Amino acid sequence: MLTFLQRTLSYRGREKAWQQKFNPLAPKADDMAPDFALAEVGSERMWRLSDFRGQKPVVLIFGSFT
Amino acid sequence: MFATAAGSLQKIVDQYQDQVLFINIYIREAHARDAWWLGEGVLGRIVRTLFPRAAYDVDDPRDATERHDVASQCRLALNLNMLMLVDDEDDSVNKAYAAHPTRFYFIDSDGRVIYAGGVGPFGLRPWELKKAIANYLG
Repeated sequence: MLTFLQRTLSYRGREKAWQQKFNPLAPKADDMAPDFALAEVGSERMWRLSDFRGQKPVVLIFGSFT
Repeated sequence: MFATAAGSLQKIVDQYQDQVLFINIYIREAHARDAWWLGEGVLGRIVRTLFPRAAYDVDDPRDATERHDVASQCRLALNLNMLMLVDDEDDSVNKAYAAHPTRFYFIDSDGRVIYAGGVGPFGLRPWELKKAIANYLG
């Protein structure tokens, strides 16, 4: 249990530092969304966010499996 | 934990998918087995019971191939019906959007951010996303 708590505190600190570093640079409401080019899962096909300009609004859902 | 919101998200997707494009971006693991693992001990048994759709025994992918493999497993397990993209090994999109571990953004058709959601798990609010979409579409 102690090990788990120590690990949690350690990772929580790292995650907080990561957010403090990158969150100020992240887009806010009314900002232009940063463009990107990423591959579709299991494929080499690349998609750019800007590919969808002038078409539909877009929801970006960031996440992982765990 | 992204899987905790999967059910709420799918309802939003089902309601608005004709008017809005939903893109799931797979980023580095939040609670990989070889990092901040939540799947062990008593806590592990509790969260596995509370959130059975989440994964617990996944190591953090070490390269693009492993990322695509885990992302594919995630897509199958959560059965999310949307385009899924995989962040690069430098986490560049994750960093640009300060998205780790989970986050929503709603962007209009001109590329401007309408809604920048809070950081998960506590700031992840599907109901706020739904309200932002409904307000935008009128």
